[in-house]
Amino acid sequence: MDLIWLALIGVLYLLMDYLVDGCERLSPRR
Amino acid sequence: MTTQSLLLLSVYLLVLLATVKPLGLFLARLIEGPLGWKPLDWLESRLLRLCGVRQEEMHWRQYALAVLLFSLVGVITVYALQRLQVYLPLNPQNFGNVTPDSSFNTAVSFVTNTNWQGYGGESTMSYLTQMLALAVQNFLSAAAGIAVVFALIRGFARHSAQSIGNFWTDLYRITAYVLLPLSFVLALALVSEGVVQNFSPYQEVTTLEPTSYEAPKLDATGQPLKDTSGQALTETLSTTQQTLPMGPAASQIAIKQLGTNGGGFFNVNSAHPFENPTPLANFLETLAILLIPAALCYTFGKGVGDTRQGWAVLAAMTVLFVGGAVAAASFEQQGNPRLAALGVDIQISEMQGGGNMEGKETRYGVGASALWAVATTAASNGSVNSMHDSYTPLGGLVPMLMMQLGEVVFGGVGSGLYGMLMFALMAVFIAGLMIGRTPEYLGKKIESFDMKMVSIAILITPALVLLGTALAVVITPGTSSIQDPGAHGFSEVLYALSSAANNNGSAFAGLSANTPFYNGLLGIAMWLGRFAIIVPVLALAGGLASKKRAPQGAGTMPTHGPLFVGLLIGTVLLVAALNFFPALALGPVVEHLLLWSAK
Repeated sequence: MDLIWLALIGVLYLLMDYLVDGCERLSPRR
Repeated sequence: MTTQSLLLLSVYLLVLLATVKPLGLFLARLIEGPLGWKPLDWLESRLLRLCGVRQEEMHWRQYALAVLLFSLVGVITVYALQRLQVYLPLNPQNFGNVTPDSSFNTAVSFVTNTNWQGYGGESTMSYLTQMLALAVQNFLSAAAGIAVVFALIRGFARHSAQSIGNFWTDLYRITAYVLLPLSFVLALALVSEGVVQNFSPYQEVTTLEPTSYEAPKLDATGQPLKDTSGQALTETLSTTQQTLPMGPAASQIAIKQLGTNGGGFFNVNSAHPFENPTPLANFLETLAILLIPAALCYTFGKGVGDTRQGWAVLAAMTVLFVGGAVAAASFEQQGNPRLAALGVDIQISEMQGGGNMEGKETRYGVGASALWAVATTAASNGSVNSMHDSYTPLGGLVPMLMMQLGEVVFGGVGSGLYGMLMFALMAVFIAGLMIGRTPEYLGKKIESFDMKMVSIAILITPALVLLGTALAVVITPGTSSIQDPGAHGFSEVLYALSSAANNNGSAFAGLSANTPFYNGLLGIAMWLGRFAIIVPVLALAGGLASKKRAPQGAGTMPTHGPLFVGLLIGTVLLVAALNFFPALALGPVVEHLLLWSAK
């Protein structure tokens, strides 16, 4: 069971990592 | 609203506003450099070097990744401490390990500054878990929120710059110079009022009078007995023994209030006499909720070089707060007509304060309870000194709406101000559209990229609240936890999602949320409600920092006067109304109409 919840934490972190990339791509001054 | 409630609100605001400038000024000193006192600056530099921190300026992307990585490590640490507490010291009650789903929920909850609690503190968490996992995150999550608003203020203040500060030095300075000293002083004050602070095992005491209670009737093997229809049989028991919980409560309560965390040491939070024993303790704890969020407005003004800008934001927050406080106190003072019909005296008299006293401490009454309820939901604190689930429908709507405004009426430490600044940018954008000029705020032109970031930051929480509520009320794992049928049951779910996604943490307690479904759903809402806002806010800060700061011209809209304050308040209310009016109509509004029509 622990692995499932730890995996969910990992997925949530990666989602935010992608959001950082997405915001940077939108930026006109990158 | 009674004179006593009005007087309490007035004194509260006077004391709060008196602290804004001195504390805000001190916070502003930390934005652009070290404290300026050599021994502490030396210690700071050594400690940061010891941790491997290079004290260099960061690009917004580096800053955001540092926040995310730091939070990831925090979540894993809090999770592990809960899952291993039976093997660790400082567990005199021998509590078992916390379940995996509850550990996940609590870990995300405390790292995101939400402090939603699906567990009962005194019956679940060891002293070590309370201190090393929960109290530590109370400090760090609060400091992370303030660090993000520091970065945003730098974004407004700098021009043609590529960096927005260093997350690690910000985190250190806020924790060491602001949160720790303030918490120490408040904890001592609370101990002097009677809040417990010890490592003793729980105390067994003999009560003066026996207490009767209903308990399930058990057979010889300890299994519950049932009647022919399958209903559990109960029996009335009587006892003169009571267990008094102990623990290092005062130190945790101080930071839970100051850091707008809200997670109680005990299950009933600040309604517990060991957590909030006297009217003075109650006043100090209520004051501590808004102390830093209010001061940060002045810090913002100072940071951008025009304190009038900070006062304008503070004025907008204060107007919204006073509106909420007056409304909640008035609705609660009206009382509950169903109880009145049963012969309960709800009228104010020389002997009692009257109103709806269900779920409220008689020590505090309607006035101090309603003020706390609005302060705790205006800020993303979430601690309670009364049970919001027992408020009248419209009295309960007010704290729910305060959260749904986006936690920008003072809001969380740091997060409230950066949330409100998103609305300020939205307000100047709307004003710019109306008069046909490129919007500007503090000399920065607000362009397409900036508005995209603002839109993500503003819309993520309503999406989480409404989609999460919709899911929870249509599937069995969601509906099976609802205690009350009909409109109030819907309100319980709507409140839970509003609280989680806006990182508040208070609850309508009728919802049994300590289930894998709600622990998972609310955990996801808390994480996205925190970091899916922080990332675009930091991207915006980076974008603003790189822009030139244009001088004010004849066509610049002033953003420090009453017109802008009105526009800002209107924008906040309009966005909330468009997002949440239908959902509120299905919950508290329907319940109010049913209650007063006596159907």
